[in-house]
Amino acid sequence: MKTVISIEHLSKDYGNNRGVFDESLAIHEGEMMGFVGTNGSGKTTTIRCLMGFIKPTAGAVFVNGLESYANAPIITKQIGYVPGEIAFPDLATGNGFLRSQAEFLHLKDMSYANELIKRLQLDPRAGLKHMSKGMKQKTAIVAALMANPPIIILDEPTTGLDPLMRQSFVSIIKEEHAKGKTIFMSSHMFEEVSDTCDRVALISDGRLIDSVSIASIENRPIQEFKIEFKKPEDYQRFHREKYPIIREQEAFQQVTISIPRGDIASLFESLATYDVRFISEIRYTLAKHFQEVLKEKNNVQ
Amino acid sequence: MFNKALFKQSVKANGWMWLVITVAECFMLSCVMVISGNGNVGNVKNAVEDTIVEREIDASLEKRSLTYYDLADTGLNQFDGYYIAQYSTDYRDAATYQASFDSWAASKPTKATSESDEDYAKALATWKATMPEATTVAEQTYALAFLTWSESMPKQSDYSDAAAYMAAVQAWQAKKPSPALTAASSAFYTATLDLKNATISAAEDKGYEENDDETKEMLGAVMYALKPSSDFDDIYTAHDETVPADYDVTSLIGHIQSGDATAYISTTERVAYREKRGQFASSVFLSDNMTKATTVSQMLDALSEYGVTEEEYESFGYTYASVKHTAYSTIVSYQARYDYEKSEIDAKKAKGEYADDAAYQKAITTMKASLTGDLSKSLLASLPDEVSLAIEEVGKMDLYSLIVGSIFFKIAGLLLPFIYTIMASNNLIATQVDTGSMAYVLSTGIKRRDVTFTQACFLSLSLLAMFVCTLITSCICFSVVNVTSTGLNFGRLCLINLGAFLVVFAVSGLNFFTSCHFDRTKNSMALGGGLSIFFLVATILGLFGSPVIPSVVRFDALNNFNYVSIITLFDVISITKGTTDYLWKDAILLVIGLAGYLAGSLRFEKKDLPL
Repeated sequence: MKTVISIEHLSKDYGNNRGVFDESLAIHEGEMMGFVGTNGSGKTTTIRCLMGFIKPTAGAVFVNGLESYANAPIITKQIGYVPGEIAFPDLATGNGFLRSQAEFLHLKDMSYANELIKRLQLDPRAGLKHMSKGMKQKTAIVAALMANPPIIILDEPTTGLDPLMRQSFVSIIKEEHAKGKTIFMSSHMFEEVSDTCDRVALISDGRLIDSVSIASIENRPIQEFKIEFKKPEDYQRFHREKYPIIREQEAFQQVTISIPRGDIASLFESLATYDVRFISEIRYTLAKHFQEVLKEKNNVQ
Repeated sequence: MFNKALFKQSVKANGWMWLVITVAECFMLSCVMVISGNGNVGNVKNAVEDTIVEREIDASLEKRSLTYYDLADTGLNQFDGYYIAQYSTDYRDAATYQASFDSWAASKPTKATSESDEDYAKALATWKATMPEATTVAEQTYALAFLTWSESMPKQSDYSDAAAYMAAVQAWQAKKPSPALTAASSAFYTATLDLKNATISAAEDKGYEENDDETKEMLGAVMYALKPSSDFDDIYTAHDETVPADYDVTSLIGHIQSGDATAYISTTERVAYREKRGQFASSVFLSDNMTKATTVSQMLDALSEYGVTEEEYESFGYTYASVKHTAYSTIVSYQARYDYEKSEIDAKKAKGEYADDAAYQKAITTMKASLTGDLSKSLLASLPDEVSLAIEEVGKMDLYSLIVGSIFFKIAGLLLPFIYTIMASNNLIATQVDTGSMAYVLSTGIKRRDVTFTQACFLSLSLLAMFVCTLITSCICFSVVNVTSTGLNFGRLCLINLGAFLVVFAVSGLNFFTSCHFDRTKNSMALGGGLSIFFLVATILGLFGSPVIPSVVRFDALNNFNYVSIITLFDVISITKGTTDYLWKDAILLVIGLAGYLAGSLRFEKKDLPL
């Protein structure tokens, strides 16, 4: 698979341990990459390096094999970019802005732009100064997507959107993804990226902690279940079963067990003899995964 | 290089601001040119001229009153010296002469009864021929006085009775000329003559002939103070002034007799007497001189060239009384200062700071010279000259060029373009980086160099367009108004507009650089805008010290502000005077502007953009 964006030992040191340090990440063609981290963890800095707006202290970012800072004018032509901070040029209306952007992009055909506008229920005749946050965000998305670029970079695109709007935004992004475009999207919300992305990278304090594919999280070979028994005898008896108990809460007569996916059938068979109040699967989420990775890292250190 | 879409965006973003500022600028310009071109400028100029004339005459009068006073005071002092030196000699002469004269007089032949009238006349003639020769002034005075006296002997035939006759003869006898009386009047005569000669030779030392006005003026100042005869009463009687009493020599004689005359003439009492006489005489002499019909008409002739009419001159109020008052108060305050300075020098002398008496005298002379002026020309010759010299600049001053060039295009008219430049240059780069909207431009694949080039083009072209508008406006206004005597013409108007454009271009280069350098608009505005406004304020202050302001009302110290402002490189004076100095200054402005744009572009290309 072709690597579209390749971040190689990227460092941008702003002093006081701020910035990003020794990041390496490869994004393949057609992949939708999520980029998660808390505020101030270095997501925007990475994206700025990627766009060639700032010069890395060390390392480099390559887009389609071109170093991004030196070749910014070339690589940005391939990229649709939605900045984190929405500030439009000093123009009167949304239409004016979109037309001006189209001119920059030498875009004659506005049909796709119009389609996006319709999909997002955007009224581009509104004055840029009077637009709500959501409208501005939609306008920015239209501007980024209308030229149909093969790479789309979004810096926290859903911040400030209401849940419905977020839904339609996500569906548009997914469509673009379906068209085979490479998408790089930053967010500080795990749910959002785990819902939409193929792969997610976690950044913390300027350092890339881990990158993991959503599929591997969802189709984990080991599953965890929490079981509560009605009677104390059952609770005691269950301890003699062969299932590995990873947590017990005697006060509630609860146990948490971790078993391979294939053992589920035998578990249910065994449980038929117990008086069970409830049984629930503990989902292994992205957040949980990263928490564990972070914990592990800290322990190592 | 040039990006049309970005240019269009900049036009849309800044066009409204450009339009408003250009319209305001042109409106202001046309108001200034039309209003100041329609007559009022002349009145202003006349008022300025009148003020200068009046001031100059005042200064001249003050200076001259001191000179007169100094002459009078010094003259009287000299006179006292001459008098006491002369008196003793004359007294001795007169006494010796009297002895021989008396014996001769006693030998007057009496007519014998036998003698014929003819013979007696002969004898009398022989006797007269043997009269002791009167060579000195004292002797002559005595002889004259004696003969006059002897001829006034009472005749018996005039009296009715013998007793009356005897009384008359006794009175006559008492009037017999004495050596003392003779010496008193002859010494006065000689000392006066000495003073006259000394004054004339002092004038000659300064290069004047005996008959020159200057010499006459010096003599007048001295002689009217001394007043040796009633011939010098005229200026006092003409103005209803109290005629001063005859110069006091009685006290001098008294002190000569008691032998301390030399010390006496330096006593405060005597000095105060001379000063008082000098003060009065010289102020009367000056105001008489100043208000003479010939002086006034000559002044008016000289001043009419500068638009000072007779009424205006009268409104200045140079009447006899006011001139006298001015002169008198000037002299009094001079005297006070002189006394103070003298006491300082005396105190220094007491401390032994002067090596010898010569050094002490020199210190006094230097101090005195610094307090009084020197008589360089006669009143009539100098006053109109001094006034015309002072007023020459104002007369030559091109007020219309000053208002349009130095005040409008160099100061007032720069404010709005400066504001536009500061705002536009920041809008074009710094604000877009600050807010982040530059991301939309740069993410479309435009090179940073193209961004700066296009924005620089927009900024400089919009300024050029603004000044093309002011040029058109100023040419229209100039053809509408009818201004005579101005150095402005259409060509120079073009050069002034070009100069103003180059100033704004240089400032725009500076602001473009700060706009490219800083990520924050406020920082960029603080440095670029702050400097621009500083230049403008410095030029406003510098104007009051610049050569376009007549020297009499100029604050030379303020000229230093011109050295810290790049607006000074816009040389309006050179343009309106037709010299070519403005060429290299314009070139520097152009270079500054280009350097700013270039440095800004290079900086923008290299820096990290927080987008």
